[in-house]
Amino acid sequence: MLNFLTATATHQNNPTGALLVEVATGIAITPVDPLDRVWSQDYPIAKQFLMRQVYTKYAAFAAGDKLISGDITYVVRAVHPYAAQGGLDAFYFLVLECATLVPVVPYSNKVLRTDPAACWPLWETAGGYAECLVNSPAQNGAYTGVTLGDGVGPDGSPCPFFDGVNDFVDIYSAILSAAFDGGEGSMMIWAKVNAVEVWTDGANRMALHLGTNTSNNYLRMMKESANNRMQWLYYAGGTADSASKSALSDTDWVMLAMTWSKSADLLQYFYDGSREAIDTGLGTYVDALVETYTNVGSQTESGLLPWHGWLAHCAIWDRPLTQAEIAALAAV
Amino acid sequence: MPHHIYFGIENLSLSGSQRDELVQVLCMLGPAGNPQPACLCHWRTRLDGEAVIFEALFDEDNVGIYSFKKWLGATFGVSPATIGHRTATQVLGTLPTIVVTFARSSTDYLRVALFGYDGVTWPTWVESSNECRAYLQANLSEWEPGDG
Repeated sequence: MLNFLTATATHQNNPTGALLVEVATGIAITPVDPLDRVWSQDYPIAKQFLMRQVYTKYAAFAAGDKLISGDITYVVRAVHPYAAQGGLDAFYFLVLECATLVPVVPYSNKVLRTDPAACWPLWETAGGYAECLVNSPAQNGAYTGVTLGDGVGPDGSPCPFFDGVNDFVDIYSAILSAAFDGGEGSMMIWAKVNAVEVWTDGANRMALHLGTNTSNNYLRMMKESANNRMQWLYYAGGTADSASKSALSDTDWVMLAMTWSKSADLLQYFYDGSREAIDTGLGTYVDALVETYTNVGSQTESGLLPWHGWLAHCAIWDRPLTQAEIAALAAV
Repeated sequence: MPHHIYFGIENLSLSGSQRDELVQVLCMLGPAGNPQPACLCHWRTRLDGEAVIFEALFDEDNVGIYSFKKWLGATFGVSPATIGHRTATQVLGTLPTIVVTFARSSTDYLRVALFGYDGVTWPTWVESSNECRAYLQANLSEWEPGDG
């Protein structure tokens, strides 16, 4: 099913060849043309958008051109040029065709709506920092060794590759440590193995590790050394609770999540949005997170138990998410 | 010429301070800056602290035999020419890996493995990482805690 939008594009007297585009729905649009017309959006005013062309070309739009707004791609269905008149420049009347019935909410927005304490999309394509969408830059992570933008995440955004040798993301920060609640919370990450052989490589491979140490106060979600198994573990005050899921061989993205509540005495383990198991009898988590043990893609900052494949969209909450919320976050 | 590879070192007879001095030098290799974290020098230490795997976009000259002799010579305070070496080749995964042992006065001090490099042809990054992971898989108990 297609939506149709109506827009007018008017050329302005501007040496850069700017066009004023009015979109009937008031949706900001950024046209992208991989060929010879590169556009960038400027001044998004309600129903008016100044769009700058990199070179002067009056016939800016042609049928088939693509205009991209967020996750929505519009295709120019028709262009109706009008001649200059009464001191006005020539302008164009566009009919835009949209292949998306409902505007897609970017996945990261979906995560943010659940009010996480931290959220790292891991979508960078260059640089050393993993932007945290909450409390940035204080909660930004730091990349070590990963290949940025190597893959496509579950939502289509870029994601980093972890080589299974010595790559990780240090997500510790003092502000995260203060926000982290070992008694009530949730954590999530999307994971994809490099190849099906990873499931039988005999190594423990960490997707996400939050901890004070590796002896009696830590949480982790990892691929186990035992073949084709994933493990969730909550170790609080020396009391360990864990669950494993067997017979796994997924080579596509999977969402891993865990929720914990000392007050409700309930641990829940999730794989791709489905609750796999629960536990009771939680211990009391002691102390704050420690940088060495708070990582995406490895157990420690020494690169122990390194993930081999891709990871994306890590988030931490200071409350246990509901099953419905987890299920919703497992859909991109 | 730069090569994005993995190499490992193993201390055979260096003292603790000599080992630390050498590791400090090796940690400085690779580009000072790069938009890809994978190209910057990073490492992983064996559980006993006596072996380290490095990865970066290394300059070819910095991972050659003479370079290691130079660094060892500086560590010992002797001429690099007094440091000998012998090579062997191992197949860890599918490609040959050259293993160089450095010695002085009949004592072996350091072993270096250039993962996927046979002494002639440099591997791609993927090839080198495959050989490195094959090595780790074969020596898992030395590199990973038992509990996981």
